[in-house]
Amino acid sequence: MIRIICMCCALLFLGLILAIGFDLYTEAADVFYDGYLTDKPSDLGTKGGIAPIILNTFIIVGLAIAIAFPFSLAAAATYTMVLKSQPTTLQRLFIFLIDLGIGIPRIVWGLAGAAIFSGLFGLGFSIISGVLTLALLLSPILTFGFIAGIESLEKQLKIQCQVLGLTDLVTFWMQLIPSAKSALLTTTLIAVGRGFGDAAALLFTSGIASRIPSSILDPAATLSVWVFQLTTAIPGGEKRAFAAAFILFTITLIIQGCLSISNKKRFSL
Amino acid sequence: MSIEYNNFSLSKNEETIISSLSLRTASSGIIAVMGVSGSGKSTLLKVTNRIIEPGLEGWHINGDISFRGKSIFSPDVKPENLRQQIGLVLQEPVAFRGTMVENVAFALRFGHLKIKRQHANKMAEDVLEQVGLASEVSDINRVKASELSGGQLQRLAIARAIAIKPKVLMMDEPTSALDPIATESIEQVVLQLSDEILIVLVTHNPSQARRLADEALFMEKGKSVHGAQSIDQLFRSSGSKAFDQFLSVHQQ
Repeated sequence: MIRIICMCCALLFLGLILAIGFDLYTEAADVFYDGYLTDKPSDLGTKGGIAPIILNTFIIVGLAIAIAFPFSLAAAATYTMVLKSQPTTLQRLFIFLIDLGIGIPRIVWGLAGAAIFSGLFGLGFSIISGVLTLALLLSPILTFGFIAGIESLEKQLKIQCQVLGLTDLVTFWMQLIPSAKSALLTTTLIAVGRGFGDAAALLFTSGIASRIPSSILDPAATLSVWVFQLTTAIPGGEKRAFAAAFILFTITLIIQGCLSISNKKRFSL
Repeated sequence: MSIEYNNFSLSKNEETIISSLSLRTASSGIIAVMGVSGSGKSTLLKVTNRIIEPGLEGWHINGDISFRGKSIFSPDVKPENLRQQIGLVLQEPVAFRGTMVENVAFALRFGHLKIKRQHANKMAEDVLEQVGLASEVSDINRVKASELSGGQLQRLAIARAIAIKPKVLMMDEPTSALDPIATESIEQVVLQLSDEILIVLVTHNPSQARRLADEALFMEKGKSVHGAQSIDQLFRSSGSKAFDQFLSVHQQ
């Protein structure tokens, strides 16, 4: 009985996802043409393709992950190798800050990023401003996932290394990290998916420019910001927004597909 | 290379785990530590290896433990260096990633010895031969440590520990979950090692203590009931109610 209910729920959910994809595609069908993925937009996005937007999305999310990943790994290392043996107050404070970082609404991150990076640091609407804001937003998510992945093997493996006189650094880098790599990959893919879908944090920081940037100080819109822009500020942009949303939806599906493959490998160990 | 416990006590969050232990071990041979569960045997090994660190996680000590005439808790003694001198084989060893040789060579390469890969692998092969795994497993350079049986993994853990050439090797119930054949092969390794270094063997099994040990210590609620005695003396004239009970339970 439970199996049937689970199957029904799974099928319902799959149907819902397919319906969303189908709806996006049918709404945007008129917009697609051969050069849609390779052309630049024109007339405020009401004509042409979305090549620069896709490129900007990959640049901003890629750079944000490149910054957030080592930072989060270092935070996870600090927690598992140092704070775990310290008084519980420090551990609780650390976890509280991580939970707080995950819980803060993205729009608040966006406004904070705009105030700090765009305003205080004078970076204005720019890729770097968006990248730094997105990296801050993604770091707690990455740190939380890394800690969960490492903690699942940490205690036994850590003691096993300690009794051989190995340092915490060697234990972390040469045993814990390689053993937890599937968990790290899964967490990173979740963060990438989050980065692709985020508009609130980038709207106020990286701006809405639809051209190919010449430097990281140029403004640049990502797909989600572009969808928001087309629906709210461009008259007649709705169909174009559906088309961009369909591309975003497809990229998200690809990332989730990678996540499923990663998890399959992880659970078949 | 004896270990000396000087009126040593250990507590966690006000609860006494080891109480006023005074003992000086020999510098080689085998000393068995016996006692019922919760008597503080494993904790004694962990604090001697400094896996339990006073001042952290609520642990507190009184008295001292000396090794080579120096307190192991002295600020200039690094835990990593001490652990290389006083090795510990855990009750439930965990396989590292990689082959059997890589497992044993790991601490040689990345511990304080910093031995080059090729040489470390050669040393690892020799140690695996010593513990009888090289002749038992088809190819120690190919077989993953995670593929080994419980008894083989326990011997691999012993190989990892002795590869770094400790002066003392402490073993926490290394045969508790093993069949008689695996137990015997581990006992052979222990006897062979005891010619050169001191083995501290925690065991629940009085027969095993009698077979292997030169001296024995019986612990009850964190206290050493007799102090270290020769194994024959302990079994001949125990006089302690707790030890007699322990023996009768295991004889049944």
